[in-house]
Amino acid sequence: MTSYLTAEQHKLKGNEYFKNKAYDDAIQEYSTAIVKDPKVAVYYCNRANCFLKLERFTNVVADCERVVELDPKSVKGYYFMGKAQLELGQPSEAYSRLKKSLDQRSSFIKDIVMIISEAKKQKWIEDERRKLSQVSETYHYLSGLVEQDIQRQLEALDKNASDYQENIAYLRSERDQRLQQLEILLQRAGTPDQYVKPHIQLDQSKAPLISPESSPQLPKVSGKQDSHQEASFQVREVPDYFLDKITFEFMHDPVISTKSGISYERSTLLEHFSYGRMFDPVAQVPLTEHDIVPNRALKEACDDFLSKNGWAVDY
Amino acid sequence: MSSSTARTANTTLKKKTATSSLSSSAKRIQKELAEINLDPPCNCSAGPKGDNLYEWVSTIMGPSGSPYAAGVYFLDIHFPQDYPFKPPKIVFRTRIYHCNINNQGQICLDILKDNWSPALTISKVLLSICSLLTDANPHDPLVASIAHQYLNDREEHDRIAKDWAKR
Repeated sequence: MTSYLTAEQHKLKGNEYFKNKAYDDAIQEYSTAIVKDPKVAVYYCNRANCFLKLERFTNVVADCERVVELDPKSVKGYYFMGKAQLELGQPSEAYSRLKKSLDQRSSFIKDIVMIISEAKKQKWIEDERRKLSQVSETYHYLSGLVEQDIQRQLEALDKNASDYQENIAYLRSERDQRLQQLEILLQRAGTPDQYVKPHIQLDQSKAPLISPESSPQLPKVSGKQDSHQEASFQVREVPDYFLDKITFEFMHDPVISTKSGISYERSTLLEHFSYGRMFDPVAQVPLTEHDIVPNRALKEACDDFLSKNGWAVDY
Repeated sequence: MSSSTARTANTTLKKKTATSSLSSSAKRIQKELAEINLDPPCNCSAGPKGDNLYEWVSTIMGPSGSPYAAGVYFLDIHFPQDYPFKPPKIVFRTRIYHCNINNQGQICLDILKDNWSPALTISKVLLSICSLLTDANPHDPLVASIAHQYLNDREEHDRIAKDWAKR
């Protein structure tokens, strides 16, 4: 009935629906636009965004693949795809996509950096869990118990309760927390003489399953640790020189102030400038966006540290 | 679990995990809190009032060698949402006789206003307040009469300040 509209007009209608959060209707319009003109990346990209809102992540990936095929420079294409893959539990793929979107440089760089951190961390956690469960039968056994326990609770949930979804999410986050705690405990058990600072606060009220007191009874993780293993048993502290001087967080895109030689995370320094305060926060000398350059050596050092200490991503 | 519920759970999960959902200001304040507990600035202590991470109280012991030595001072600290890009708001809750601090407890200190830098921390600010107690700045006064007295009758100024500090 709306066949006299052009593809572009369908897209505009879709955008209208999108604004009103009518994602299903928006998808209809974008799909019509695609049928009329299948060579426009924007249509796929917008539809992918709708799918993303509806959490139909496999559709997102499919659409985004079209987007980057049609427009290899599309920041959004890689970004949405990365986001979806992260949700689909494919952190490695997500990471490479997101890297690509960052390479294109754009205005919403901060969002991308944030989601990249998430991807990096999940990727690291995944790798670490795999490694841990390979060498440590104890971990394997205990994590199995955690999984079973959660699984039992999941099954016991009332499927008709209004907060069913919420509860599932809660249990899943519980499980992740417990597994993280378990890792910390095992690390402590593995290094009894050394003070290991847990970088995650143990929330005992919520996780009575394994209390810290039980750690001495845990069998020591066997001596056949490879070098990766050792790295994860070290004290979880990040040297100050990897931390942004403004947020005290780990730097992912360090820039150096050419007026003082001090490095900052690009996005936070730019945020500082956005308050109209054009000076170097530490050295307190005038500084503008034009006086900063990437600190590549520090970036390499940061990346290197991260590759051995994935937990530091959102330190 | 079906894949659709798994996906929904995954998104909600992200909102529930503590650190990733924290705003950058809250994260930074939390780091400062950890730091201040680990390595407190001398003669000062500080921490959140209750559950709200953005509202802190602090105590400062009057620095020895100053007329405030006998006093213990309570301060309220309020962090804005855009901290550390904007300075924290700090007021004295204890009465103090000082030319840079008025009877509302407001402090005239450059780093809390125009000279604020996001690289400063609450710990550094408290140290600055301590040194303000040791060395008042009568040339940029908040209470002109006290500044005048400080410059012209230092003895009487110190006597009143000491007297207030004991109460």
